[in-house]
Amino acid sequence: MKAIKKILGLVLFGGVVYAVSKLVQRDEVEEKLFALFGEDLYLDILDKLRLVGDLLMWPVDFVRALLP
Amino acid sequence: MNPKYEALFTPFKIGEVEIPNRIVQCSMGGTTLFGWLEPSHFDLEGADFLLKRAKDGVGLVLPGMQVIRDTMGRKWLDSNRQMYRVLKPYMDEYHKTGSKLFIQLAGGFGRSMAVTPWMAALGRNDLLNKLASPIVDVQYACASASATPNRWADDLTSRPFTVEEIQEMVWHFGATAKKLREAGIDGVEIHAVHEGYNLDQFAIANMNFRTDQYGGSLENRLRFATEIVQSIHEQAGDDFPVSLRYSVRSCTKGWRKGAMPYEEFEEFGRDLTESEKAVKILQDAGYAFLNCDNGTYDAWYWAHPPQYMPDNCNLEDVEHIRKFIDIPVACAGRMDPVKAAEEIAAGRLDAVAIARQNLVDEHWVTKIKEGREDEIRPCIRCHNGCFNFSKAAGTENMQSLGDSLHLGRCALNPPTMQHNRYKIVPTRRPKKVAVIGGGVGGMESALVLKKRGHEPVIFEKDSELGGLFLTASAMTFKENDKDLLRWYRDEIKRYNIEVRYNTEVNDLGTLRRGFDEIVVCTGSVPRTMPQIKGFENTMNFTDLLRDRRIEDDKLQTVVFLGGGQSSCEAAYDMVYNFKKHPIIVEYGNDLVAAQATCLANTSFLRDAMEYHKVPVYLHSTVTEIGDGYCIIKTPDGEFRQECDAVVNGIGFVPAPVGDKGPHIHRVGDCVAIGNLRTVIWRAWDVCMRI
Repeated sequence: MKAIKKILGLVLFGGVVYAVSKLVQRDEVEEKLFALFGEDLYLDILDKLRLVGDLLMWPVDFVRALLP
Repeated sequence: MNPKYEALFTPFKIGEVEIPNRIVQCSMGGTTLFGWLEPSHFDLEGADFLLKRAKDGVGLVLPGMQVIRDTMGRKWLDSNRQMYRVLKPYMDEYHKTGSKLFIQLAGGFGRSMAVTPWMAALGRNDLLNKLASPIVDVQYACASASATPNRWADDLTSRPFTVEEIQEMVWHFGATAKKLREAGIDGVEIHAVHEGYNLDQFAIANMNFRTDQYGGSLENRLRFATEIVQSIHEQAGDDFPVSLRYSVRSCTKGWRKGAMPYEEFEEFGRDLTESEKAVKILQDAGYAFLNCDNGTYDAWYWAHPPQYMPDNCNLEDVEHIRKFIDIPVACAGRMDPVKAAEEIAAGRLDAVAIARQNLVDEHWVTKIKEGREDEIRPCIRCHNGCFNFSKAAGTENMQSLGDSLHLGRCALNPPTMQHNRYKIVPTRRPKKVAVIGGGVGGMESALVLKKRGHEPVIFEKDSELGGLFLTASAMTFKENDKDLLRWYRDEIKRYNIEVRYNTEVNDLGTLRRGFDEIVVCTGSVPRTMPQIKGFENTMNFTDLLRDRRIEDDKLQTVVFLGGGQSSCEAAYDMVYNFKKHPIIVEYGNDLVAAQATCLANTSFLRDAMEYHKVPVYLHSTVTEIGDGYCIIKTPDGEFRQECDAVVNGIGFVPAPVGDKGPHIHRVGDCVAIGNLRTVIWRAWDVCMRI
């Protein structure tokens, strides 16, 4: 039961992250974030997030390669 | 189409495979179908990039090198079944373009592995390496023919491959080629008896001290390469064409020492005499095509020629060895398409291999076919976006992690290999935008804004567009940079972008009424060091280069304060083209010790300074500048140097106009000192969001 809850929790978390990333990419939202953080900070945050995203794909790619 | 290009658009054959024209896109690291450093997978970005090049009309496309065994995760390339299932429908789509695609399969980097500090730490420590080896085995990744010093890290020596490891790898080349053929790939190219990569390290006598069947005679040293093509033919069929990436000469004087293009020297690597024999052995083993250049990692500027190398720098050597074989041959290395067409028409060459131009302009082939070659954005060989492995004395590869993960991007063309991140999306609310400054940042900003549907107006304080790039492109060897400037000016005209010349804007408030947004691109000004007595008497690069003081007969001995890229380039121009006497004074421990400047560029400049005997004082500074002299302070003491000028080469500082605020944006060096890549990518980052 605990394991199922943990898995559901992870799936929910993943879903939220996905939804937020899609939301942030909408023009209106991005414009507001741009204005809120200022150009320099916003672009810097984006860069770091992209790098983290790239690194997170490594274990994903590794697992995919094992699939039959 | 201009008739001088016609020969490029005739077909030729590699084995039994017909290639529709003579234009070959050389492999570039990162432009891969199966990923780069990460565990292999079908790479959507690479697939998009390659398909676009095929649609543009490139006859044979070679994606970026694919190591036969993943660096991360260590899986063999033939083991990923899912990847080949996705590849098949892609190749069906690809073949609709008429272009052919060969995958470049690499036998590893060996001593040329561009190790970063953490990789070097693993490579030097057996225990740490063993612990990390399920994920990354640096000692295996750096393994070579023999125990030889790593090009990048001091005190890191490659271990020799065992015979079992070699033969295991040979088998997997065959197995991978079979899978690729079944998925629709037209052929493979073996990487590489070229540029000092692993197979080349086996081939070069001074890098291979083995006494087994893979060392000693030339046949033995080429055995790794010949067994690979034989394994491929056994498993994938002997009609499956196999190309070889090949360097005719190494142009190398020793470890980490390359030869200038005009230098007489004793060859440390492969010379022309040995190459004449080598190509016959390789042809007889079954290779159907040689994709040629020159160089090694120790003479990197031959394989990745920067601006300082002559056009077509490898052509003479490539045409020479072509006489010794029957299989077709391509030449790579700053190839001018017009010259290539001439050589192909004359029967001296079979194909031209062009790499970087495919990053800069995805329609360059179409533009040639349509007679619009003036609209081609030129590559300037800066390597800032595509290939910025950098190194200085005492460092390993200084490349940032982000760049290590993403080679094959382009400083001048942000959408290359980033087509989702950088794209022109039409605006729903067109705005009038004032762009302050007509340098590269200003021009790029204006172009992005215009393409999106905004109305930009450039305010330029001078009577011409270009900004600091006018100075940066003024050196004699910077013909491509001058072409880029011309291209920008033509694009500004083509898009009917208004430019107000001789209009300096110091108060952004004056623009508020007429404009919805303001983009400040005012660049930078030279840094000063008033604490140096007489500093106000220094000359700046604009005086020297743009205003052509470099041609002044009275300017013979010039001291460059600062040994960065600008100083070294200007010094090279002075000594090579004007036969004058530059002297470089650098505070740090090496010339051009900057991250993001490629070793191909920096090693040329360092080797050139040494060859031309330009005095270089490291760990030094200038303490006084007087009339006709300066005082140089070195670790050994101070001395007086007679000179005609001291050039301020200590760098630049941002010079933005006005304060930050709503509807005010900043692009380029006025934000932070960078290079063309930081300027142009920032222009897109900002202007895509206006």
